[in-house]
Parts: sequence; structure tokens; C-alpha cells
Amino acid sequence: MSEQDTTTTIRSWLRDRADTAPDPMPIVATVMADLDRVPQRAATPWRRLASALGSSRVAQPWLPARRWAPTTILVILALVLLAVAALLLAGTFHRPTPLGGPFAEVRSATWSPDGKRLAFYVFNPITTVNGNGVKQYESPKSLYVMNADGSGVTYLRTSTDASPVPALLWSPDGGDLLLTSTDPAGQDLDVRVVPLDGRSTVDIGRLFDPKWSPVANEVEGVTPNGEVVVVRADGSNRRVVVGAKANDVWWSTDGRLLLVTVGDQGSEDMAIWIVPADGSRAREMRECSGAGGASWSHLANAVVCWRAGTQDLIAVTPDGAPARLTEMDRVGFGQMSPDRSGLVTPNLQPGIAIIHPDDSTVRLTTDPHDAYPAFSADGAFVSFWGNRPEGTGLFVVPSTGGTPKLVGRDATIQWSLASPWQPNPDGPQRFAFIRGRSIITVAADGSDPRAVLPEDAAAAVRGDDPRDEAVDDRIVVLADGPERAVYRIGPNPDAAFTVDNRSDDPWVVGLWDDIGAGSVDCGTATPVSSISGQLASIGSQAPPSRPALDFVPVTCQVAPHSSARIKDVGFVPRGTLEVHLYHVAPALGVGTLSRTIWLEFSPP
Amino acid sequence: MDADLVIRAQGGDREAFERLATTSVGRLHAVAWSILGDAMLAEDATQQALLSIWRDLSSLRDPARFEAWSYRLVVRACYAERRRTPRWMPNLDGLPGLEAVAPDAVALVDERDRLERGFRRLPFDQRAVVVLHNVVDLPIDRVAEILGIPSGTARSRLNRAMQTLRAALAADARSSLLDASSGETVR
Repeated sequence: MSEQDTTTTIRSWLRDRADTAPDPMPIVATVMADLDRVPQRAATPWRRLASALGSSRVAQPWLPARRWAPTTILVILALVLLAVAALLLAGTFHRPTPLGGPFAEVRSATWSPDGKRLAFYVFNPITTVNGNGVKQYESPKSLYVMNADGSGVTYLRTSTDASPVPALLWSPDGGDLLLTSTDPAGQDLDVRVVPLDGRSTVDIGRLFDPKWSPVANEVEGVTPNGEVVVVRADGSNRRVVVGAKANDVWWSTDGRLLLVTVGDQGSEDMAIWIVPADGSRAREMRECSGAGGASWSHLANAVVCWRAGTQDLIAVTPDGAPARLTEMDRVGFGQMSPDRSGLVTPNLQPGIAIIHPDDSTVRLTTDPHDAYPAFSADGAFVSFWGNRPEGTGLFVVPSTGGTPKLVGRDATIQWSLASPWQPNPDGPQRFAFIRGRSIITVAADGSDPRAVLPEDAAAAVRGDDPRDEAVDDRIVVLADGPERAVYRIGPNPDAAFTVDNRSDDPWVVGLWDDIGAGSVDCGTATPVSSISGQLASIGSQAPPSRPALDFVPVTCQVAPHSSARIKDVGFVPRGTLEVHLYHVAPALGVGTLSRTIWLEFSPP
Repeated sequence: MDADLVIRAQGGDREAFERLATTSVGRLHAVAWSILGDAMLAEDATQQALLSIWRDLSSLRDPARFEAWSYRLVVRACYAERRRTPRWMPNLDGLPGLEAVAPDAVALVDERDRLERGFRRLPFDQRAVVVLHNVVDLPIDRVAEILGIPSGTARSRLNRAMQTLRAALAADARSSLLDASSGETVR
């Protein structure tokens, strides 16, 4: 073959090859949807100057001229000096690149055991268009750690699972993070250990509800086959300690034993087993035969079993001896103080109470909406989430009793930090919460608030968030979601707001008020309880280790190009209400996109 | 290219930009596809190039030069994409002409497969020159202008690339003939 022939062959092949490129038109739709994230650069003074001066370099019109006139050189020198000055000043006005885009959210912030660091996720919802021109929605979750003062923000990894609130658990020594996430149906498990010293991530397999040992870098979890597995953080020494049918598994506080419920829940063959974590001989607790379930006692010295179908409780030591049943165990849910001198619980309604081992009780509050109490690291304070006349958000009250003080206004705090208090038993007591898209720490008395992760560091600006007293209760929804992140709602008794859907598809509005006492009035929108078969009630998605409350079960579907006035009748509008908007994509048949906004209610 | 569209898009007119993108995406994507040889990478590069066009359009002084300027951005995006995700690059190690060709595949190895393998051995800067010159059909001086390199450099890159492709074509052709005649697996 001659050189000319081969050249022709090559050229022909190259052109034919180019013709096989996939249809590029969907790319345009993706780009157009992304334009908001890429603001146009204004023409720089240099460009204007270069344009005014003209160019002798016709070949590359976007580049500066090659032949410099003396005046041009002087201008350049002046500009260079200006640039140097600007660089010197840049430190003053430096603004870091946000971790996420305009729809980013901060989730699952968790203190390290020593209280020196915070780990958190940044959800960054994005919209793409697939090869068929159908919009697809993804919400990559990027994991970060930072120091308690907000310095040293370090990126760890990104995942794209669909779980709304992925669990994030620190190892006892603070050296590893255990990430567990599932899709909304709980099907696909992504369980892995992320070492913070730069070592590779360890995939520890499919395990339901994995938990760290309280004392060692070991994890237990239940396989899809019902086996209980214990494995080291580095993936080694993996051992099956229960062969099948396991349900709930709980570590003893010393990390030596596992309390395992085995068998079908509610059936007669359900059994309670005490299983040594080292895989040695397990013991069935026949004292608990016929039990409907079991847990460790709050004092951690006994197993508490309850009879199926009744509320009868018995307490038994791990080796089968009878134990005293305390009032703390009768109440059940709550958090023990660090020194185990009391259990703070919302289960002695109304309000929050502390129960001591001698069964004496101190009532801290009487408001039935108070929930999620937590002891400070030194046990001197109790925080809780409340919806009270003074506002909605985090309150703090001395554990000896007193007047609760609103220190963190945010209706969503209970989803943010499983344990908000900074582990610092001997120092000043501070706690953290997520407000909107920022992480705030504040002293126990509400003083010294610090935005350790400011909103503009977490997320790109979306719209003009209300900075003044202007009221705007019309949420305009465009094709890619609401046009703003925060809306200020004027005083009204029903937490009413309008959703103006200007897109071509329906959007479902879900209210994350977490009270469960009220009802939603959808107005002219359609009340729905599911989105194409998926449960739409966002409140039903309780994060791990959280009791599900009685959430508002109704969401409202707003038709394309229509608006509806929606009222959250049970919500006392004195704080911030988180609202999720689900896009219903007819082509996909499911509502896979959610955008979050925050409604700030003016005081009545 | 409608210079009016460019001017309007420079002023932030999204409708104008969408029309501009719609009329440009085919040629930009063809370049990206040709250089990268990977559908996902090409899509990402094209998308990034269009976003760069939107972002930096105000820096384009002569709207009539939009087309050349956009080629420059898509080539840059291809370079960036290749640096960011060199995911198929390791496969190239398994593609040299005289190894890893199974006997049943020998019969299927045609001219275009050999060219594909040869093309993938080219450095990226040579690929860009080859594609812009042979696919987009731009004169070599214009290619140099777009890539921001001297004309002589563009010519030498094109020559080296074509030599590599010819050599690969010839070598692979020889190996295919040898393999076909012996009927043995070449390892």
C-alpha cells in the first residue's frame, strides 16, 4: 500500500469513526440545566483594554496582541502592579470554594470520640440527562472531616447511594469511620471502613445495622442470610458468631458479649442468645423463652426481656441469674448520663424527665412536643428539641432543673446530630447542630455561637436568601427545583405557604416538621401518600438508632403549571421548617429527586 | 456561525446560547469522541467545553472566530478529561499488535481494528492534530492556531502521528497475515 493510499485509508477511517459518535444532543440539555452553576465571567478590564487597543495577532483573536506599543507596555505594567496589590489583598477577602453546589445539604454530622473532630456528609444533588434525553437525578454524598473549630476540612470519599440519612460511626479510637448506607428500600448495602490515616477504604461486605464494638476496632453486623458476623476494621479475623435467623444484635458495654435475638419476630420459636464476640460457646437465655425481644439494661448489667404480646418485663444477668428491674428499664428509651447516674427520657410524658437508678425521678419539662433529650459530656446539661412558644429548635436545660433556653433555632436538628454534645467531659460544654446548610457550635448557655462550617463554605449560593425582614411565602419551583434555598414566611397560624410549580412535571411537597400531632392541608394540591409506589412521607425514614415518631403521613402533589396553598396545621410556626420537594418524572415513573428548602417563620 | 448569536450569548442571553450550543455540539462532540475514543469521556468533555464556552464567552473578542475558539476549548476539555479519568489507558498495554490476539479473533481483525489500536497509541497532542486536520478538515495552520502551537510543531506532530498510524497498520497487517497463515495463537 502506497503512502498516499494509507493516508487516504487513515483519513477515511477517522471520518467514519467520528460519524459513529453517539447522539450529542442530550448534552445540550445537561449543559443548559447546569448554567446556573457556571456564572458567565464578565469581560475583564484586560479584555476590554485589549479590544480597544486592537490586535495585530489576527490568527488568535482571543489572545492579546503580540506587538506591543509603548503605551500598551505601560498599561500592562500598571495592571501587573494592580494585580500584585489585588493578590496581597486577596487574603482579606478570600472565600473558599464551597464543598457543594447550590442545592447542597449538610447531613449526618458526628463528633469523634475525643471531641476534636467532626465528620459530616455534603449531599450535592445534580441533574443529568441520559442518552434517551431523560432527566436523571443523583445525589452524590461526599464525606469530610474537620477539626472542631472548623479548620482542616478534609475530603474523604464520595458515594452515590440513595439513602437519605447515611449512618456515620466513629470507631472507639477515632481512627476509622464506619459508613453504612442503603437505598430507601434497604436493599443495597454499602458498608465500609474508612481509615482517617490515608489507608485504603475497607469494604466489609453486606451487613445490616453494623455497629462498632464499644472498646475495639471491630464491627458486628447481620448478613442478608441472618448470620451475625464480627470483623476487624481492616477486614481481617472475620468470623460468623451466629449461623442464621439473627435479628437484633447489641454489644455489651465491655465489648465481650453480643445480645442477639434469633428467629422470626413475634413467633414462638424466637430466642434470645448471649454470644461471646470471640466466637466461643454461646448461651441461649431460656429465662427469656417466649420473649418478644430483649435489650441490655440501662445499667448494662443485665438483659431485659419482654414477653410477646404483653409488656411484662424481666431482668436477667447474662449468666441467667435474676436481676432487679429498674424504672429506667421499664421506661425503655432514653440516654444514660456519662456516669450512668440517670436516664434522660421523653417517655414519661408530658415532657422530659431524668430517672435515677433508685427509681427516683426529676421532671425537667412538661411540654409534650419536647423530644430527643441528650446529656452533655459532663452530665450537667440536657439538650432537647422542642416546638415551644419561644421557637422551634434546640433547647438546653440544666440537668438539675431550670428554665429551658432556646440555643439553636432549627426544626431539623434532630436529624443532624445523633449526639449533639461535644465529647469534652472536663472542658467547656458545647454542642453542635446543623442549621440549614451550616454547622454551628454553641456553648451550653447559648453564648459564643460559631459557624464552624459556614453556609457559603458548604454550599454555593442559591438565589437571594432573605437577609432582611422581607416576607416571601411563594416558593417558585422551576424545572430543576426551587429557585431559592430559604424563604421567610410571615406570621400565620397554620404555617401556610404557596408552592408555585412552573415546571412541566408534578412536584410533591413533604413537610419535615417531625411533630406528628397535626395534619397537612394540601389546598388545591392533591394529597398523596406515595410517589409511584414509594412511600412519600419523608418522616417515615427514621435514621438508624432513632425511634420513629408519629410523622405526618400526608404529602401534597402540585400539578405542573399550577400553584397551591399548603398548610401544616399542626406546626407551630415559630422557627424553621424543612420542606422537601420531590420531582415526579413521568418518564422515570418515580420521584427520585428531592430538593430541600427551609422556611423561616416570623414570630407571631 | 451566526455572529449575532454569539454576541447575544456574550450578553447572557441563554436562549441564544442554547441555539449556539445546539448548532455546535455535533462538531465538538465529534472531535471529543475522535480524540478520546470513549463515549462517556467524550460526553463529559463536550459538556465541559460547552460550559467553558458559556463561562468565558465574554473573553472572545471576535465573534466570527467562535468556531475556532470552541475547538480550542473542546481539545482542552479532552486533555483535562484524560488527566482526570485515564480509565481506559491501562488497557492500551494489552493492545500491542503482536500479543494477546486469540486465534478466533484473528479472522475478525480488520483494517479498522488495527487503526483503532494504532490511534490509541498516539499521544494526546498528536491525536488532537490528527483529528482537527483529518476529521474537522482544518488546514494545518489553522490547527496550529487553535491549539496555540507553532505551525511547524503542528506539522511535525501530524507527520509523527501519521507515521505511527501507518507503521501500526503495516505491523498489525503483517502479524495478522502471519497469524492467519499459521493458525496459531499469538502470545
